[in-house]
Amino acid sequence: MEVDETVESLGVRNFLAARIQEINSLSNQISTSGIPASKGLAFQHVPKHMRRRAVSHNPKRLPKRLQGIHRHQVEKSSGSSVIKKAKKPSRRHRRRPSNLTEEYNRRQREHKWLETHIWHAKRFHILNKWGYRIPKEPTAKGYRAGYRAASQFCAMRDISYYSCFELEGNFQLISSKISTSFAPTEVNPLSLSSEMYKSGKREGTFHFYRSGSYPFGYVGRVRFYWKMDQSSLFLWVHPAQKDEILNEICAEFELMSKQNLVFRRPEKDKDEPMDTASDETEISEEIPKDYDDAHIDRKLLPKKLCHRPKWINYSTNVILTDLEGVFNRFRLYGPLATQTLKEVFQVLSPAKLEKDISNNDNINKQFWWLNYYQDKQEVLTKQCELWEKLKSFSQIPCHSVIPLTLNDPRISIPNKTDPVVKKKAKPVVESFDDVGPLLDQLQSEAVDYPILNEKTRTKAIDERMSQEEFNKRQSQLLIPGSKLNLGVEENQVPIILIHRPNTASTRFKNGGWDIVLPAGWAMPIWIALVYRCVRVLGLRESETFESESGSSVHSNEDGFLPPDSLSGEKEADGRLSDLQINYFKYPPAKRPNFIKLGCPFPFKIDWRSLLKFGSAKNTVDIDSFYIMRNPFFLEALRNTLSSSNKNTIFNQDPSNPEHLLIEICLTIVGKGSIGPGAIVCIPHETDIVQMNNKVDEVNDNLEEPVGDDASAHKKREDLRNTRDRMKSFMQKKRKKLRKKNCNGQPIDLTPFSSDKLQVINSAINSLWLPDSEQILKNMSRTPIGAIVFGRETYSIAKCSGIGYCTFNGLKEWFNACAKCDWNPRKLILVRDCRNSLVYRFAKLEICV
Amino acid sequence: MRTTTLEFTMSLAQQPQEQEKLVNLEKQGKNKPSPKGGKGCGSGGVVVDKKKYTVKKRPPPKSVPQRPNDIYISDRSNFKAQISKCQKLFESGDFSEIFLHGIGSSIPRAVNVALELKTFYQGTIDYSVNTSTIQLIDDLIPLDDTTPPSQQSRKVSCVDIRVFRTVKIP
Repeated sequence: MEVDETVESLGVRNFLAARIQEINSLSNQISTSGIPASKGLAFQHVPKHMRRRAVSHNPKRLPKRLQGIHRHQVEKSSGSSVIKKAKKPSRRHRRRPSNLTEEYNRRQREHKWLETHIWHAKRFHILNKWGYRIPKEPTAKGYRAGYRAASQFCAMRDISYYSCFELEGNFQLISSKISTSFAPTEVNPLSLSSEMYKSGKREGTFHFYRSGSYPFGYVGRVRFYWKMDQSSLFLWVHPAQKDEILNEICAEFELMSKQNLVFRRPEKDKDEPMDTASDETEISEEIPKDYDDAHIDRKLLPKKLCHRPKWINYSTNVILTDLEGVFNRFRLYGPLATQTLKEVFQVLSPAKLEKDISNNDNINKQFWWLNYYQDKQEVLTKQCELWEKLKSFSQIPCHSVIPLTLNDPRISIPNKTDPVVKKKAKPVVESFDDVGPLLDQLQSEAVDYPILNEKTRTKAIDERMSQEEFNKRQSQLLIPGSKLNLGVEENQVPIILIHRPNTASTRFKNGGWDIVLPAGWAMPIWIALVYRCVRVLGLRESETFESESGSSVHSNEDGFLPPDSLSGEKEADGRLSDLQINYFKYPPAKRPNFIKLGCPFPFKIDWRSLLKFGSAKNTVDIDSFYIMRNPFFLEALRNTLSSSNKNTIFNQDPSNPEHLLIEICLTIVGKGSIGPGAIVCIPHETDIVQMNNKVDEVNDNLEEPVGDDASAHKKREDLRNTRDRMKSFMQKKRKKLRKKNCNGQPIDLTPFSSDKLQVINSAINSLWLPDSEQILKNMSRTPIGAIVFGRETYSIAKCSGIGYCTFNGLKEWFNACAKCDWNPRKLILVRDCRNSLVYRFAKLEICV
Repeated sequence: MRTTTLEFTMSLAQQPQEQEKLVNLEKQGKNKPSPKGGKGCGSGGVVVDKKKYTVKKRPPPKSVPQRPNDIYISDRSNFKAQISKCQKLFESGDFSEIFLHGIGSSIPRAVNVALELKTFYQGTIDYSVNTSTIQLIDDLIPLDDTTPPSQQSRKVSCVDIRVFRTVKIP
């Protein structure tokens, strides 16, 4: 062949570049984005024999090579839902245990779950409060059933949302600092270092005030008990007050925080670096630094049980640890509580311990109780004896802290629910043995309660046999339903029982037991109790029980946070916004008109304006106020009011009387009901006289005259008309603009948007709200206080409520009563302002 | 400890006198200033330093669970309500006898309930009375730091009245 001599040389680079370009452009043409819209859409390039009608909604009908382009084009044009999103994994896949755990952990990021959450979620309405998901009330309405259970049988509540702190350090230092700064002696006659509490045998409560602010600056109630060897103090704090108390304690003891991770994030965030290795070894020598609790089967909470957040003062060696989630706490009510506990809890006996030790070859390797009780067998004997002799709640000294080690409660769960109340009754009232000295001995000998010791507690949590394993063992039993015998492997649970005496002897007996258990053991013990037909209560019961017992100053529950604390103020604000939003959702004709009703505080009680009204010159601006908690003062006040002794406590004023509120309990005499926001007023002489004339009836005609709403009504009407006119004007303008704008260009409607009407709407809404100061002044009877919580009280079969009165107001009322004898029963008026104009008579009691 | 002092049955002849006596007792009981919180008020002769301690009474022991025909009489409840409770138990037909228990200041009330039942049922019912003593323990809560907590025990008299039907009802 003849060589073509036109090409003399071949520039390889140039050639290659050109060819690459050609190839690229060719392949681009052919590839996904290659077909321009003008050439037709992807589905039009399908060969005849593959064309299908269904492609519009089912892109899989296209050949694979065109599916991508088709998808792209459809998205571009309309972004429609032809494109099926990634398929949600099947229910089965979602419920696989590992996926489930991840899902639960994800849901807990914002609000923490209690260990018993899943049990509650199936049966309760659950609230988000204080960073926790807390069961509020059962889905089956059971106010009366709950009350019946708590007063005659047995009821319980999971209160594990309470935070626990451990304050380690020198006993004298801690107790003196706390007593001087936070627990003033007027309010807390017994300090932390008193004989009663310092041995750790009893649990105490003190009212926590901010350092140096007494009588103002109330924070909340703190429960505490010392460790037996006085090396550390355990504080139980309500979650709403936790931050405040933490800050105060850190400031007082000059503690600095140590960088510690609180929760392990499921996405495996990088751990924040620990402080220098030397600090680590000082504090937790027994638990290795890289201890990872991932292997522990804990479905719900991936807690870090060791290396909790700490705050340390290196010079004084004071360490504050946040033990949130490490303990669980259950509260039991009812006269059958002791009997139920005896059924549920089998106490570890010395005989069993010996058997276990002999069965177990390598003692040091396993099982915390074998090590711990090896040389402490007397403790177990005492424990068994105490448990056998304990038959009634009234045998135990009040507030006692009882350490117990129990056999695994799962083993003795009956196959069917086995209520304690159905057991064979004993015919005779026995006089029970005095168990006090025996308990004392037990507490002294068990020097170190195992649950309070970090090492044993962590081991106990570690060694818990998982529910799965336990079920497997049970299924392997020869006779199904018989008792499982695990021998050495039967877990032993360290717990504390805290005795809670009745606070009110005449009303609802709210005493009972508190159980403190380690993490991970909540569900086994919970189920064991549920199988004994213990009724489960929710958060709303804390409020109702507090009002049933008639006092919140020295009560067991923290039902309503008091208004002089920050947490109480916050709660009230939350309720205010909720109530207000609901109020304005109703159409105007359905809303109760608070101006006509003469209601000064429709949603939130403004104590400051009430105090201002009650102050001497009615001009003092009240910035902060406080509630009297001094038990001696309250007792004296109560005696003054109940007797007709004219030598009264009102002769000597307490400090800052114009900022002072006193807690009262009102019981309605005769007809009527009260709710939150009811106003307490001083009756006129004529009211009492009229009432006395009608022997047993109560005067129904005692009414507040209807308030004058005329001017506000007119203003609202005017504003409404303005708003309606504006609205239609705006609508027309917008319509015009849209009509004008045919090009398809974006139009700016903002000058005519209906957001402008918000200003008018809020003006109208504010005209619905009453002016509290005006109303207080114009009330026909002098208001001296308000009710925070009121409802039908089952324990006294009357309507009663708890609230606060101003000190000056009480003084005025008492002086009025003392002057003349027209009010021998010492009645006072109360009006449920949010609902009615009628004043009702009530009996007033000082809450002590 | 339970010390049984006397066991006696009220004969019909003695009844009116006894009734008067007991009603008087009740009146006395009403005039007495009621003890602060609690049924059993016997002091047992123990002197408690009121400046050092507050006395917190523990609830008296009740057997748990109770039989339905065990009724604990309280001074504070409505008298009529207590009687109607007993009547309901009889009329339900399940029980031919009920036991009334009263401690301390509620003894007159218990006795009056029994008498009232007898007059209501007009001779078809009779009662037998047991008196005994029960030991109650109270907590002494210290008022200052240096005093340790303690407890006091006191003996309180209590009465157990067995009210039973004398006429068999088919």
